[in-house]
Amino acid sequence: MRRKLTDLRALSYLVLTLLISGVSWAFSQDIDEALPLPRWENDAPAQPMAEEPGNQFNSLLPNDPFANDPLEFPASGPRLSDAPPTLMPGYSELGPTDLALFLHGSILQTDSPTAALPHPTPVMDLRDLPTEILQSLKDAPTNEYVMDPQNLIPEVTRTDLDRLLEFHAKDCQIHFYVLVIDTNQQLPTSTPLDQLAHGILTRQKACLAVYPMGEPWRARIHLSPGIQSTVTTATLADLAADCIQDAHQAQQSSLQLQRFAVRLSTRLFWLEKTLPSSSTATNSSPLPKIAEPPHPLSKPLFQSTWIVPSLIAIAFLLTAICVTQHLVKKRSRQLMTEPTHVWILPDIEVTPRLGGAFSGGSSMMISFKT
Amino acid sequence: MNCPHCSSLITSAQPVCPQCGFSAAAIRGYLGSDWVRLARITDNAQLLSLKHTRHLETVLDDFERRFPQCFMAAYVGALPDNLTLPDLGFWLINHGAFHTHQISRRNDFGIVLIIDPVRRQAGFTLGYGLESVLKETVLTQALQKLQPLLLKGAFASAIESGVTLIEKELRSAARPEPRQLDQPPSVIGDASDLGLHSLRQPTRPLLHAPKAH
Repeated sequence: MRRKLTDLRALSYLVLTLLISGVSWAFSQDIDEALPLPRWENDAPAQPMAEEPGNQFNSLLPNDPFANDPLEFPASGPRLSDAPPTLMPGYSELGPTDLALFLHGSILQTDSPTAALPHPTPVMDLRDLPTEILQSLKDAPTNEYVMDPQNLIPEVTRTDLDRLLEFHAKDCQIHFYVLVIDTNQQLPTSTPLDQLAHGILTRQKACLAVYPMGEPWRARIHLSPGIQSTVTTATLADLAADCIQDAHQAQQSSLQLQRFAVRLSTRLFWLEKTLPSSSTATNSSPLPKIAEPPHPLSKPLFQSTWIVPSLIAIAFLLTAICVTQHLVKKRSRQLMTEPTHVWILPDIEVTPRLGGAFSGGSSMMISFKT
Repeated sequence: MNCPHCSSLITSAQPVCPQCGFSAAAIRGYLGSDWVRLARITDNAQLLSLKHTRHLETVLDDFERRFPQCFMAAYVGALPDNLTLPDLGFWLINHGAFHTHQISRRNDFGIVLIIDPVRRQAGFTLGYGLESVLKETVLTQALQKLQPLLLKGAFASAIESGVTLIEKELRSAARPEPRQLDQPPSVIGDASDLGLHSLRQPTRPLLHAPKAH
């Protein structure tokens, strides 16, 4: 009985060994046939559809020869053509290679899909900008072109705007300032804009854009009087419309501001070229001009018709006097060294005094003690 | 006029100062009656350098060439207590044999500038011939202009400035005449007529004279 059991166990081990070796052989035969050698296909790889999101970054990805040949993969493993499991239901339209899955939308220059359609603030809901903020803006430094007293602009956008407007100020005569207010805010009608930032609008060629965040259609563009008087109203209206229209291309409020600023900066460069020369513009400016102290060598001194001849005559006269004096001195020196004349004193008879034959003691004496 | 010794007022033809008894005889009794040889510059105080002395001699020589009647001498030295600067000036003009180009010059056209660095006094003394030209006010103004130089101890510069100031005043009173060279002597008695003066015997005395036989 025990011998029978031992034979059965040995037989089962043999069968199991044969079964395992058979399966291994079958699998090795299958893998050798499934992994093909590299192949060069004559057909161009299929281009992704333009409508697919993230298509502009597909060139950055390596070409996947297997993506177009899904049948070559073993049927048991995952394949790139298979759609990933739905992690974000709102982005179900994105493809598996879309960079928007892990890059921020602003970097991709695309808007986030969460931006809702803007609703204009009713006029009745608009509030005036607080007076204390307006007071603080009077002392704002003139080299800070972005005025955001309420910190409404995101940090990244603020940095970009600062850099843009600083570059603008270096290259353009018309300096560009942006005052950002909140969505439901407006500038009071009696706001003295010429006092903002130490009077930038009056002291130099400048443009001040008052921009409500998220509502570019309510943006106001103020120009220095010297510029405004030389530009037609139609031109200014076209400038404002262009900037607002460009801001509408974006839906996110910070991007709208960015587009608005870039567009207005460009238009100000164009506007600068249409301006007349600086002297003409200054003269036509109705603003009171700060009088400069007269320079000691200012032009009127030499513009007079009689001053120059008088100076020349005086110079001639001084030269003549100097020459005459020099000649007289030379002559007298010559007479001193080589006398051609002698000087004879009158001989006056004097009665001697004190018994002196030649001198009566006529004298004068001083003491030179300190 | 004033007495050179006591500055009291004296009139012409007074032989003796009625106040102090000063006279030519009195000063002769103190300084002697001999004539003294007086150069243009006498620096008894040794305050003038040789360079300054030579320069002043040139200045005074030019002055004498332009004013052939006049001469001027400067004396720098300390005087004794009982002798004033005008005393010495009075005696020098009356008893000084000045070294001049022309022997015909008379002492009454002489000017003496005396500087006493110890008393810190300076004064001009004139001969009779210049009294009418160089008034006391003129001499006072000239001395006041020299005062800054004297205070600094620049005696050479003070003497030169004094010559210039005196010359300026003399020109206002003198008349210019063309310069004439000296006439050659018609008769030559000895070498002195040619300006050559003998100083000693021309031959050496013999030490061993030959004995007479």
